[in-house]
Amino acid sequence: MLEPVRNLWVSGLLVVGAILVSVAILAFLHQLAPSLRHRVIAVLTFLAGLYFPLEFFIPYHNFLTPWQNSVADFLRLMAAFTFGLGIINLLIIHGRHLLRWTSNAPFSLAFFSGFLLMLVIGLISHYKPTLWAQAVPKEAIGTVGFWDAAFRLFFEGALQSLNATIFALLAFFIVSAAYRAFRIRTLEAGLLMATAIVVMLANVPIGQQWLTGWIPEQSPLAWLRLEKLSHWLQTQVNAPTMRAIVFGLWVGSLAMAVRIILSLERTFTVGGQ
Amino acid sequence: MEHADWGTVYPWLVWVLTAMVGLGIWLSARGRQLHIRRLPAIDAMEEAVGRAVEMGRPILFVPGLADIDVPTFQAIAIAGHIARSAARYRNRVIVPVTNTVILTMAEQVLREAYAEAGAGDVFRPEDVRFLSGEQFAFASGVIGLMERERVASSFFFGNFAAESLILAEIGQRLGAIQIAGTPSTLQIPFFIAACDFTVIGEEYYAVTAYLTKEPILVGSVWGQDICRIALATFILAATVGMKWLPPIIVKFLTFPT
Amino acid sequence: MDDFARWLVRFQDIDRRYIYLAVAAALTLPIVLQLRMPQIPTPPTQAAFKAVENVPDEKVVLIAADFDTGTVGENGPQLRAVLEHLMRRKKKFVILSLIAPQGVTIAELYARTIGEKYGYKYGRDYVNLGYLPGGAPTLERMGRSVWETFPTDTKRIPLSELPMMRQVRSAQDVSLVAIFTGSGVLPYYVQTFWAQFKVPLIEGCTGIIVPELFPYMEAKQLVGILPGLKGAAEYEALLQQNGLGMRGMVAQSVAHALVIILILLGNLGMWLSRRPSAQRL
Repeated sequence: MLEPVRNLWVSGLLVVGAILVSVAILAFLHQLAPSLRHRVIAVLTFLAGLYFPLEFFIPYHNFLTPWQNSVADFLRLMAAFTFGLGIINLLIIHGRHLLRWTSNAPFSLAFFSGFLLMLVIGLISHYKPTLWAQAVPKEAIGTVGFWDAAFRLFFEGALQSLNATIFALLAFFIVSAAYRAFRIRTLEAGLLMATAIVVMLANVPIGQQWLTGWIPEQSPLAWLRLEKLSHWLQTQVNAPTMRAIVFGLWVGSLAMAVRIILSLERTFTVGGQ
Repeated sequence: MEHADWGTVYPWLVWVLTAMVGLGIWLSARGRQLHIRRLPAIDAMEEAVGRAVEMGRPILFVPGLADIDVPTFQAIAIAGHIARSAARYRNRVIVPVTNTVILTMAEQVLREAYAEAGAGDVFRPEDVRFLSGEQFAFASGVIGLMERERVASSFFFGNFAAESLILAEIGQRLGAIQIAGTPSTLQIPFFIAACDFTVIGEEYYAVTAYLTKEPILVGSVWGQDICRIALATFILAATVGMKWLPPIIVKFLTFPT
Repeated sequence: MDDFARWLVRFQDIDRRYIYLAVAAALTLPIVLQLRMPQIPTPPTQAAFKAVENVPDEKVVLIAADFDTGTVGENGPQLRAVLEHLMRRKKKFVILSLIAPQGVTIAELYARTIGEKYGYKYGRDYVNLGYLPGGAPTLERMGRSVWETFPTDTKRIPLSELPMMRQVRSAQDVSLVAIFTGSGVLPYYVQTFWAQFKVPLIEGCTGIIVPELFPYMEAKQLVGILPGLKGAAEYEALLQQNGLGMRGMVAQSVAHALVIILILLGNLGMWLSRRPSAQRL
């Protein structure tokens, strides 16, 4: 609905204006008595929370629909502001460790080197890829410039591999957790283990081929084939149970949403102080 | 985008369920005594906080892969309660987060919780930490925190994905008392395997009501249960009756595609 | 006998480091030794295979590479198998990702390496549209107009300069969406491509999210599923090819057997320690 402003000066002025207005609103809210402030916040929460349900429940393309992109942009902008706060939080915590040279200082040093290196290389490779480096000729397909290569080295070579490494830990932890947790102390635990073993065996050729692979597909006992048993367990036992849990959860979620929109959720509503 | 199709039962259902929750809140607010069954996992929370105090070690509260959504709001509400309990014994609660919006929210909630308990000086803003927006970078950050701070109790409440077991196993190895609850159904088995207590399914949204016994919250839990009973009855009746119902009703009950 | 029982009792509490070591061996040895095991394709994989087999010539397949290096172990072999199938049948495809910027890079790398064998050329036979954040609303916009949503491909080449894209204007020109992911992105595609544009969907997912997908398949919103690494191996079996999926499945098979053995040993140890006679041991 709202068109982007192309003029640099106008948009700059708008940004400064928006910041000034926000500061003024915050200062005003701060001046109010706590109970009044709470009420103002409650009214704003209610109005903001009303947009999405109204847009959805009023049939078809309604007067609120064209504002969807603007509302989404507004939410993204707010998130972007808080992202700055996140970085400040990181810098303060790690800066303090470094200044006081605590036992955690080496970790903070690692943080600062990683953070600055990625930031600088990322900015250069995006905005000035020819800085102290040769430009890549257009016809040289498959060749990347120095800064691009450096960025890839850190992003694909380091970050992605580190991510995959942490994820791979899961394989080890699943086995040790299963070993520890699957103890048949009750009938339910026994049933759970039996089904787990059926599903696990059915997933691998050992079970499919060697254990029950000899039962012919057309025989009346074909349901005993592990892959069929496992499919039955997953679609007829597991899936309905999961759906039931999800039903229960969504009703809870709906109730929580109602409490938030109506500011009845006092357990975390900010503004009391 | 999609809009509600009022020619089907679904949009009506949302308002009926909302009304049922509203009824629960109204009844409870008018003084009707409503009962919530015993939930051992939630009873154990106080014990877990107490253990950390005895051992003189901090408490860890992970609000999951936090996003600006209802499960995370509930997680932050639970974090507030844990912080209030911990503040009474002047103990620290460390809250690592993946989302910067939630960072500001969590910090405010914890600050208020400590101030309310008269232990504002114990609260350290740096205990609410933004680690990373990346799932596994966050997971490794939390592991590091758990190891360095030797946390005595860990609470995992919120949206979790593959990192759930990684975090819970490390806590298990450290010997921490661990309590978890998540609406991410796929992660519940991992938490059951590695934690001492796990809040399952709809219990997740009953935690705050159970802990505070605040009429509005208790009433909303009661309303939710009525909704569930009504939903189950409706599904059962519709499934059985589908064969005999006139086509116009069948169309009304069918999800629009 | 008592000595043996006492020895078995110790299995109820194996040091976790030995368990980790055993897992590492179970996962690496079969791959290093290049062991082989046959695969029986299950109905969900067969259905996915059939859907790819029936893609008409004049339309393209949308490859949604919504995964990153974390799940490449499962999604990678699935994607490779499906790409191999598409190339054997000389079908064109478009790559994009809604949630993972790395996914499109990985998918293009696969397309390039497998494509060498089949003489596939970028821009003529496949195109990488890149990372497209914004979830269902953006997908819906793309379904209505590909050119408006993506004026250029991931290398910033205008779509007008890519010969294949001249025929790809909207969801009408897409015959199948193949999603590869370890996350819950399916609803975005169901709400848009399946519900609004009537394009069939198949999904290659990680083993853990398989239970979440069965309801979609029962509701016919998903035509086929490649469940985890097993799905990749089964797809390779249908292609009569011996790829990464087959090799990985042997490792997974051995690891599953290890888990079962460990669980049984743990229980055996526990039972023996609880026997009255064991109290005296």
